[in-house]
Amino acid sequence: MRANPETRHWTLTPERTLWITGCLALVVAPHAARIPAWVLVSFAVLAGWRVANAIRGVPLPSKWLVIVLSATMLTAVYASYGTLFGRNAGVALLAVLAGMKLMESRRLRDAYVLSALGYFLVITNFLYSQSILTGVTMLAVVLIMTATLIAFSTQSGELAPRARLRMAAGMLIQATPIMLVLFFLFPRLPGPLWGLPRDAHSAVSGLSESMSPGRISRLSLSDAVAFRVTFQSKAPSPSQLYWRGPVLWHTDGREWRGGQPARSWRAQYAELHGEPVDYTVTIEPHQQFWLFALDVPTTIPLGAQMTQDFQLRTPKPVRARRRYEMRSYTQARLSRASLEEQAAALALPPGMHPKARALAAEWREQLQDDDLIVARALEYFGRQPFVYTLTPPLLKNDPVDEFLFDTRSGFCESYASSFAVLMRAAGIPARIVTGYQGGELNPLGDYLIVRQRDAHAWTEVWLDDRGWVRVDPTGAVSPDRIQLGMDAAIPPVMGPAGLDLPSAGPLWETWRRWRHGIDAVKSGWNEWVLGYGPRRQHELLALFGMDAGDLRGLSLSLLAVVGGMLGILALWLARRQQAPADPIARIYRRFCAKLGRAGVTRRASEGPLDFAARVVATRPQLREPVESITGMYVALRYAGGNLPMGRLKRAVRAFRPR
Amino acid sequence: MDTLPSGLSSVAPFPLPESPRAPPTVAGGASAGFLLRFRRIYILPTRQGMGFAAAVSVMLLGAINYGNALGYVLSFMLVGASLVSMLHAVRNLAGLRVAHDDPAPVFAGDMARFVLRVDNRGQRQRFGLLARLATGQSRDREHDPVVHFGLAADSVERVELPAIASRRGWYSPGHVVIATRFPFGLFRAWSRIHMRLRCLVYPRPTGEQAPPEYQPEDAGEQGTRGKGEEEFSGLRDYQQGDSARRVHWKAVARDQGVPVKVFSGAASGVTVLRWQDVTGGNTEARLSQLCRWVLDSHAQSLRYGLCLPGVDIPAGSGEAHRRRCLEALALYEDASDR
Repeated sequence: MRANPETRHWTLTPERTLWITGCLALVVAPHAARIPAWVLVSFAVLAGWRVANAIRGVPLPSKWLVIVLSATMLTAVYASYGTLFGRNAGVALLAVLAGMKLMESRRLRDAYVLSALGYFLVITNFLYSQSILTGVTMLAVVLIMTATLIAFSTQSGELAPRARLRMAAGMLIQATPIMLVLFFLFPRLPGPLWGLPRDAHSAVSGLSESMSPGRISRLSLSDAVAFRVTFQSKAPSPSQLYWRGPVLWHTDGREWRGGQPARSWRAQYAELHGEPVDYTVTIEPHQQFWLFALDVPTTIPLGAQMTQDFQLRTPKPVRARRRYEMRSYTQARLSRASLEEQAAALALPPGMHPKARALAAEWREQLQDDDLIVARALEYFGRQPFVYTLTPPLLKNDPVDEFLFDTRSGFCESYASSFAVLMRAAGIPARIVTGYQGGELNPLGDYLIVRQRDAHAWTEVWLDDRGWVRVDPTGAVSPDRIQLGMDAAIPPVMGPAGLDLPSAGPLWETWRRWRHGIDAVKSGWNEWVLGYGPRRQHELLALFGMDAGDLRGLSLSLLAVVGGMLGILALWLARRQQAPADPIARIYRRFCAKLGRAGVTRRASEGPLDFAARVVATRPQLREPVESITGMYVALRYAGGNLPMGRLKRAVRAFRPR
Repeated sequence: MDTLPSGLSSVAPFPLPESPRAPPTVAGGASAGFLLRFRRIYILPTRQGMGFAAAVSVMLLGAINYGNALGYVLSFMLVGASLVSMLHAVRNLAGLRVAHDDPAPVFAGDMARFVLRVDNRGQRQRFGLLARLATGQSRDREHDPVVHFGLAADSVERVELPAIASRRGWYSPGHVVIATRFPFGLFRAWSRIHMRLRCLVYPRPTGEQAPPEYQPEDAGEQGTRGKGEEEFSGLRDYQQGDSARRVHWKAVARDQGVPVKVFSGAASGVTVLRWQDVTGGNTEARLSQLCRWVLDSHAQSLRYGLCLPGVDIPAGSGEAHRRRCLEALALYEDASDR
């Protein structure tokens, strides 16, 4: 390969080195908590070494040492992760590579390899977080990296760092329309192109398909959004907002698990009563196989299935934010249960909960009617000193008996599971439904936010004349939880930045309003940035009468739009005249303008002296002022003369060509 | 039309013609300038630009695979910025004017210094420019002279491009390329300027043969002997027009101003440097020997003439005479070569 004469003398000067090293440090820093400490330390040492080399001239390691170090570190990354691919290993690998590349970078090519590594590291940050904050931070980093590219392609000292940043900002602003067009029109493909590395999605806290003491109460500490709901029809009252999730049938005495009773994949049956509720759910990815819907759902989103116990299941985990439209009836009756189902809904682990069984047998002896037994059980919860709390005492051996007769304080999961056990013991089929209850209406966006802290568990019992009936024992203990929502029953644990604000005070209200504002922005961000996928693109293109499936037409219009935008930008750039920065040039232009008004216009190709000669030839009477002004101008401008500028200014002001 | 009286021009019945367009090719001599217009500017991605495109493609693939919205945003932002940078690269060159001065003659083997004047009349600063003398010999490309420079708003930059003049005669080094990799180094915009750059190259002054006998003045040669031409008599300050050879450079180096040696006439006579007087060697060697003699004779302030086949320069002395002789040597064309 022959050296390019135009870049032969390019070197990574100390200034350029500091810029690119700074950029790399800025993109590695957010990964600090995610990569092993040794990777972070190695990168810091290598970057520091290069900075010391740039500032103090500390020698860089020899080529052989670089090779040996690189091989060692690659091996170490492999040893840490068992692979070099995937999200976490990839980040560690990139950080190590960037550090090693810094050790041997001297030429233009090396500098651009470093830049590419930097941009890659920016994108790896998005694999962990796509919040607005991450977006804004990384935008700032990209700005600095772009300014570094400018430093690479100008001579040192040509542009001050601030001017470079300003210029980079201008270019990014000019690039934004193209970015937006590409973002919205570039054909979006559903699903991954190839298998995702196993660590692509880290564990997200949310409901699971099993319930044991403490599972749901742990969720209640999280303010994370589970899903957002926009109602097309009138929103039901808060006490009707039961968001149905996994239904749990099986218990071992401690834990409840999902799973259908045998032969239960048959048609669902519900009697619909009352007004339908139409709404759209935007669900956050939760890595599980189900969707949530208002109890009782009657429509099935695309690609989902409905089980006979009215769960919406998906064949693949929900890995991306997703929107689906639903219709539900809050007054519906689920009125069919096979014998297998009834049997499954009566099963109790042998030998467990003797006290609860005894109590249920006592009720059964006294009361014949199932309805009355249910009422009796709810009354029991209401009358005995039960406490609704997030931090119940530990239940050791038999969580149901200990809860019902000793501790009597617990969270919804304890109430639901012990109620279900009591019902089954009394011969009434019962199952547990998990999901969310309530939600917070955001007045700014006119939508409902359902958070993890709204997670809830309730029961359904089988009554022969009415079918499956929802019974929420938590409501018997803490009616506020159901009527007014989680915040009323148990105040949120934390205010902003962990401050413990009094939950009713004005400060709390302010914080609440703030939170609503922030969530409205987040919701827009989710909907238009993060949630923009093949489906939304299809809808958007349909608005313009375009078919998202027509790849050829889409690509052509994409090219046309981007080309048109570049054309407009080119025209704008060609026309844009910056205000003259140089006062001498400004004065001279005023002089030319005066002559222009008098009929002698300076040609674009004419230098000041040629122009003066032509003026004098045309208007001999102007010889004296024109020659003196031109002389002063040339002396000031080209000869670097130290004439006072005021003289030129006065002369031009006095100049009256006629 | 601009020569119309002002009263007339404002009521001219038809529009005055636009200013004349600068011709694309500019003849030798101090030129008016070559204007870099948009459509004469070419642009292609650099090697770094190709690498960058590959990197962005990989990033986009990653964004598609992970369904990562901000990944899309970043990839498309970089695509947009690259496209925008293309426009800025072209704009960084457009509107510049390039003129050139004919360089001073040099001896073969010396550096010819071609001088460009790059004029930025706009109010925009230009960054990261380079001028390159494209010598056109592909194996020598990497030795093409290149000068990096920038231009402040409304300013002129004098750019000197040195090139080795290896052979006597007119040396035309090829064309000039003005290029830039600004702003991101992903694209290189350039314009070739076909200006008639040329430099006169004298033969290389070599050869060890003794010059022909010095003939006293009574040999009957014409010409008047200039006063103060032959013998060193003292120093005076430099004045415009003085020969650089008479400058007392050692004194200049000692920072004692620019003294010039003054000679007073004593010796007189004429040397005629003849082609036939050089023994042996090919044409170039003979010319080199003659060149040596011319320089020596001039240095000794002798009166000398030059006689080549088909060329006869009568005896004389001084700068103009020396130049005339050297030009004759530089441009001598051997009958047998043709």
